[in-house]
Amino acid sequence: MTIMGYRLGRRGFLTGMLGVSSLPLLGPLTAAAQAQTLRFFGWGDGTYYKGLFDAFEKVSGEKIAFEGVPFSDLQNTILQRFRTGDSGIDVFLVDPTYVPTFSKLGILGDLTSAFGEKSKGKLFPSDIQGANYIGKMLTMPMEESTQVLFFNKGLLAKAGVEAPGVSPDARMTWDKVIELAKKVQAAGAETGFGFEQVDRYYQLQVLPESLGGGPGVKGEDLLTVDVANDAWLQAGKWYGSIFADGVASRAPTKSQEMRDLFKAGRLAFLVGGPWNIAEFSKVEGLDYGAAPHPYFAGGKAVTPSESFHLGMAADTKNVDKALNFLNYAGLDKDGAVVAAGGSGLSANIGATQEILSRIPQQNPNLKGIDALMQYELANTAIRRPRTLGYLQLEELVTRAWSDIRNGNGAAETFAQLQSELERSFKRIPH
Amino acid sequence: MAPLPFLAPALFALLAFRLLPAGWLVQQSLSGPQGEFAGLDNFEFLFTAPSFANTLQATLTFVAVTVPLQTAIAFGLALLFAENSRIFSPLRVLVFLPVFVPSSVAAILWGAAYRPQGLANALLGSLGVSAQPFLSSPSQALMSITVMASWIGCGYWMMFLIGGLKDIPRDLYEAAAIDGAGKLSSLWHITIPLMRRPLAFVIVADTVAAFLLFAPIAILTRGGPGGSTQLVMFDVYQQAYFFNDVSLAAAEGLTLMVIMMVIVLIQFRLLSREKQL
Repeated sequence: MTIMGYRLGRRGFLTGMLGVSSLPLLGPLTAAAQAQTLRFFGWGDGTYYKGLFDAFEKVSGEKIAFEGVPFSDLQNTILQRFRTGDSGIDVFLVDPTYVPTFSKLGILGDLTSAFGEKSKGKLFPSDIQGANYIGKMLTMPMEESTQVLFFNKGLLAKAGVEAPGVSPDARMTWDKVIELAKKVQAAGAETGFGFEQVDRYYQLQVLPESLGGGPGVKGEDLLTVDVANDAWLQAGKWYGSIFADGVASRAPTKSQEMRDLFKAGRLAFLVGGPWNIAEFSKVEGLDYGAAPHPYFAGGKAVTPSESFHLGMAADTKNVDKALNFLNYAGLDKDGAVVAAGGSGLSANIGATQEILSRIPQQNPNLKGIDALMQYELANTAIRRPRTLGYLQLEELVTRAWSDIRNGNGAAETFAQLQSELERSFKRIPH
Repeated sequence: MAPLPFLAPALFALLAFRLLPAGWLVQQSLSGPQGEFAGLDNFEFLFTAPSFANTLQATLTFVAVTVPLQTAIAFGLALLFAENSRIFSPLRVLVFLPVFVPSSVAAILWGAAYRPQGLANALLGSLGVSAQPFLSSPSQALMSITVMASWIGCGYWMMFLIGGLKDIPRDLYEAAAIDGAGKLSSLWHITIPLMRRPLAFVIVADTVAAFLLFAPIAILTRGGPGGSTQLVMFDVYQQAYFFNDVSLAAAEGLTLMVIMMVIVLIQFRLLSREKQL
């Protein structure tokens, strides 16, 4: 064989093949060349955190390389990336419920000496508690969350329904909300009611919890399954009924679809997070308000809480840069405000106060929502359970809610869930 | 020794990409969650779990419905489109086109069509049929996935069968026609016996493809509703990548491999019996 006048012999050909097939081995070299940039792993395309990266670059001169996967795949992708050895990740978003699992696998770098003392007084105590596991601070709490009941004022007015109040005293029961939603729907609204995060554990844990049914696990290590009790059953029946009645729609299954439905003025009531305020307020002609998160009559008022923390990879070579970034996004008030992404809440007490005070200034319609959210964070917020079985709990409970939404009976679904979780938990090494 | 350098790349690939992973799979399937040797514990756990029995049942139902359905439709289409003509050639391209759509994209498209107010219900509505729940009903979800998979599969398998049909010598049909054989008789006595090999390939390959179906489940139903679409491949993925239980996933993967091998062997046996013309 001759190439451009050069005769390629058998030996030359085989050497060439060997050379080409060895190219992947050069991968680590390019990774080493990139070690200068802090590599951040999160969800989506990075738009949500762009403000934070830009602000951090301004104060530190450090660039951040973002890599993302779909929201629902985030935590398990992190697990797989670290399991392969060279994860290519320095800093990553951590759902704090995964701290026990990540800790057991040795993924998270220890932050105790860097931030253990420094974070006291700056961050909400419940978030610090969530970042600590077996005596070590393993994550930097960054975002916080709560949930409110958004409503479309125009649709309510059209149905002659009075807009609900924003004070915690004006909290409605689920039955009342659904009754109003049906009225608004009868007056022409396409959909009466919806949860932003369809079927997700974070969003629906409050239903059985409001009735005293617990988070689905109990015992010292939270590995005893408890999802077939009366409260779960009652909550499940209620959840199934709103879809069976048609007041909630089975069609949208993604958070963005729920938000779009509300933004388009086709949904009367939406239980969602404060991060939506920035987006909703940009929509021209959308006249909306917010009310306290509903509860079950005879039960207690509870609201979802917590949000993403930041973790530092245990094997990162960029320790100083990573700690600097974690400090900025969590403990520096200005950084924490930017990290909350506009209208989301922060784990930083000062930042949350500033964000909350800005919301009613920018949205006169939402007067009083700052006091409401502060009340919820202090009085009704519940956390998701810290258990080594959270991976299984979240996935299987979410699937059970989905089955109930699609028309399966609550009793049979939760009975099956109970046995599936019990079996699944047997596989968890203690 | 001379052939060895030439065979080396293929042997290396066989070893690195087939035999070693298979060996790893066996080793993992015999390990406990901490990597310790656990004998057949993983298999015992699997076969005593009602959920795995459901998973196997759903998978076997899917294969038993999908493979004959796709093969029959693909064969019918192949008979129809084997001839080159001004009408059939463009139609053949249309039937084949879905093959170019990645299965993940097809899943998203069909997911939109299957929505309560989607295209499928609009079409049914125009025929006077009431709206169907499709993917949200435990009794319809698996069949909805079958229809979706067949949209891609039928065109694909049709091409192999057209190739087989074109290999059949024309003079056999001419001789049969002279002897007074009709179209049905020619189909039964000439086409089907001579299509045994391409049909065997299509059935075996389609069986494997049906067992390994993954993307539409992961994207559209995630095993639900009520576990009705919890096929083995998705279950393996879930155990390994969601629950971080690699050894159980390996045991499931090995079980799937054994079941597939048994079924494919039976198919080979049945299809390789030469029938005398």
